[in-house]
Amino acid sequence: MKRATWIFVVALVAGCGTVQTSRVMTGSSQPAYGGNVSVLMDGVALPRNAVEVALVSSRGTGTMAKLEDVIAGLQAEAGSLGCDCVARVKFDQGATIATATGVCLKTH
Amino acid sequence: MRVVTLTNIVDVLSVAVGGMRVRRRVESLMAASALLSVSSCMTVSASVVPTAAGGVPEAVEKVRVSALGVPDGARELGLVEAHSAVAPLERIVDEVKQRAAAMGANLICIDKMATRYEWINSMCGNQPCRYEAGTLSVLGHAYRFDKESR
Repeated sequence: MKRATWIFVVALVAGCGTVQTSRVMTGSSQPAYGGNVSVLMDGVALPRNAVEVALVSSRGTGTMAKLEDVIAGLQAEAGSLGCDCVARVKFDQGATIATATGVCLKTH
Repeated sequence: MRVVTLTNIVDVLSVAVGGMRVRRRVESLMAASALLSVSSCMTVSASVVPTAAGGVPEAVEKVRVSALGVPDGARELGLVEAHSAVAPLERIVDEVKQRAAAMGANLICIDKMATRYEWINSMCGNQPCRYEAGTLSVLGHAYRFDKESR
């Protein structure tokens, strides 16, 4: 029982995975966007009239080092800057880390 | 008052989960974390390839970053690259801006951001350990754009 409690406490404190996001402003910040942020992978044509807002990156570790969590982090970061689209998204998968980068755009 | 040291934490974790093998693993992870924490303050590497004669160094605050393109009339000064295994995107782009500013550029167009992964073999205490590091690289072109050059 004692061992199980310790394992639980250690797992709780250490966490099983994290997603950290980062940004570099290249335009002016907008009010946060609450809708669905679209994701355009690298090589896909950019939407017309897109206004560049920032460069964004998302890095997942442990159990969150996977596509869905890392892209969700990228979308959340973009939405907080008022972007409705992340373009030129590049996803790089490692064994214990995954990273995505993109350009945060306002298209409407 | 009880002082909690790194050794105490390792001991508690080892006892909780059980065994010497676990202790070694915990030590390895903590050493790798400490290494990354210490190195996070300093390691952004950068390089520059001038493609034209530069000018007077520009103030870093005046360097604008773009990822979608450059305005007509911007004059290319060179290529700039910066990378780090630990620093966040902001710090890496900041290094790119500093290098571009030193060339006399006031505009950077980011062409590529990519992460490369590798396993690092290291010594954690007297035990060998291994951890994965992801190096984020940012590559861009540096430009000079003045109203007169339009």
